[in-house]
Amino acid sequence: MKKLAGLAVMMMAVMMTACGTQSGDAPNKDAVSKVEYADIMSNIRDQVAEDLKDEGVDDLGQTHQETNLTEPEEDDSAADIWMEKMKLNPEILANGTVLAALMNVNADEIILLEAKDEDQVDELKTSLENELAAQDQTWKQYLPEQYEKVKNNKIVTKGKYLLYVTYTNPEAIEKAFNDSF
Amino acid sequence: MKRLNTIMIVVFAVFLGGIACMNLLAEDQPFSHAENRSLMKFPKVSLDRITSGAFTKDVETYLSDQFVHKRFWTSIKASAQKGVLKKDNNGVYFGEDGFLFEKFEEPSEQLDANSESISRFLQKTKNISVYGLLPPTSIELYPEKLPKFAPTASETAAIRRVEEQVKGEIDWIDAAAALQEARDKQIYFHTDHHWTPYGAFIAYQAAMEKMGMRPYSLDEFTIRTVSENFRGTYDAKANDPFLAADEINIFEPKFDVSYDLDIDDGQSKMDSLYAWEFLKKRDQYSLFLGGNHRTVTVHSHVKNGRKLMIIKDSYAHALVPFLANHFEEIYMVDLRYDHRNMAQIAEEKGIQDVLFMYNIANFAEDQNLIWLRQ
Repeated sequence: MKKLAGLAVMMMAVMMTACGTQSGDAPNKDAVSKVEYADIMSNIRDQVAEDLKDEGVDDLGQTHQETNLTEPEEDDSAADIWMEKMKLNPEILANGTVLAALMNVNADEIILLEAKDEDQVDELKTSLENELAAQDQTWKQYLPEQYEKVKNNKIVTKGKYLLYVTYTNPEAIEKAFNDSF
Repeated sequence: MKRLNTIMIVVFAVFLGGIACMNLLAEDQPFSHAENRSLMKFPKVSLDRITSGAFTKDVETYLSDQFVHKRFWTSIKASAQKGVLKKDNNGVYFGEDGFLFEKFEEPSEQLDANSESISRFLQKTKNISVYGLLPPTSIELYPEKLPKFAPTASETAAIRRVEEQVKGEIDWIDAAAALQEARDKQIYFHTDHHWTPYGAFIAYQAAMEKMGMRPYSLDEFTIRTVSENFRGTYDAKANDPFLAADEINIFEPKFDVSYDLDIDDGQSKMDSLYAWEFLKKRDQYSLFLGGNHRTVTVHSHVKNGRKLMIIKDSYAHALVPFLANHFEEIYMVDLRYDHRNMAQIAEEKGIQDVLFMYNIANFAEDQNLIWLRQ
């Protein structure tokens, strides 16, 4: 009988850890809403610029292109293309930025989105998953080093904010995002 | 009987224990050349990663990636599957006469979207002649060599669909028909998803006709075998050790030629259309132009002022050695790695002709043609 009880306790423990892993995905409700979108983006940009400096690139603009999805610069059609590519619904997007390599054999891609309402986070997440599928398709054939980055992609949500990271060191960008709150 | 049991136990223990020991003792490999991918290293340990389950998931990948003599065990699996008359391994069909084929899936909306992207590009290139070349892959040419009842969609129908969908001034080069006529020649590799230089030569002749130029004929080239041990991407998936390797035969012009290549707008240079070092590696198709780059500019001995832009996948790499003898400059771009406005660049560079060149299987799935809509 004792053995059976022991077994039951173990089963419970296993089931609880299994449940634990799933809830990790849910949006974090503690996020303070006061944080400004521009500040998060600027923290992320600083991190990328710092990493590039270590590689000997002084100016982020030399290798990466930043596209503002909600307020694109004049005659910049890249915003429309990103929206179409990800099947992003502009109605629910408060702010959005893509930071990606413009002309480089480099899978780096960082996307920061802010939903107008917290209920719409899931829909935006679907768009980011579309982009991940596209990146997977683009990079899987050749260039295993770049494909590693795609496989290590991270999609993180916090409150109304979503972060998509394909990057050599995604943890650094995730940290810059998390530390903004 | 008891003795037999003891023998069985010993054999079993040695087999299991032996492999376990070999696994523990073997050094980790950082990269698999056969599969052309990085292998999992021992994952980072942290409380966070253990509780989230990321650690155990990575350990599982690590163990299967670093299993000793993995290629040997997986080839046993492939042989066993063939033995029980299974028709494919990892999505690659075992065809007759040593042919491997990859299934062509019924095209999705992506194909239609890609046609639309070309139409949008055509609206912006008014004084430029645009050509389209969408060759089929080997599965379309040799249906009789496929295993019986192996399902695959029609590539010819997909090519026609694109030709009908694209609106605007574009001339389609019918590579499928020309290849069909030459199907008894080795126009595709058996173990790789690419066409051979012979296949590219056939398409080149069709292209020249469309472009109003006289192509060089077969007897103006010397065909030279440069490799007899090429095992391509299909081979990596099928993993059948009994399959014969492919030869690579290149076409060397009998007339005087000279080329200089500029890779990625000044990043590096080559003075040959062939990167010979790749013949020593697994990915021997990269012999042609050194594999996948963002851009490659080929300047040739021809001084006729003609400039061609090729928006392409890797099928173009075997074709360019033929086209280079007709254009002063060829500017090749890969939209996967270059998101600039190509209509604008064509204009800035004074390009007169643009060629879209994708094999239809790739064209049906590629998600980067959208950058043509700028």
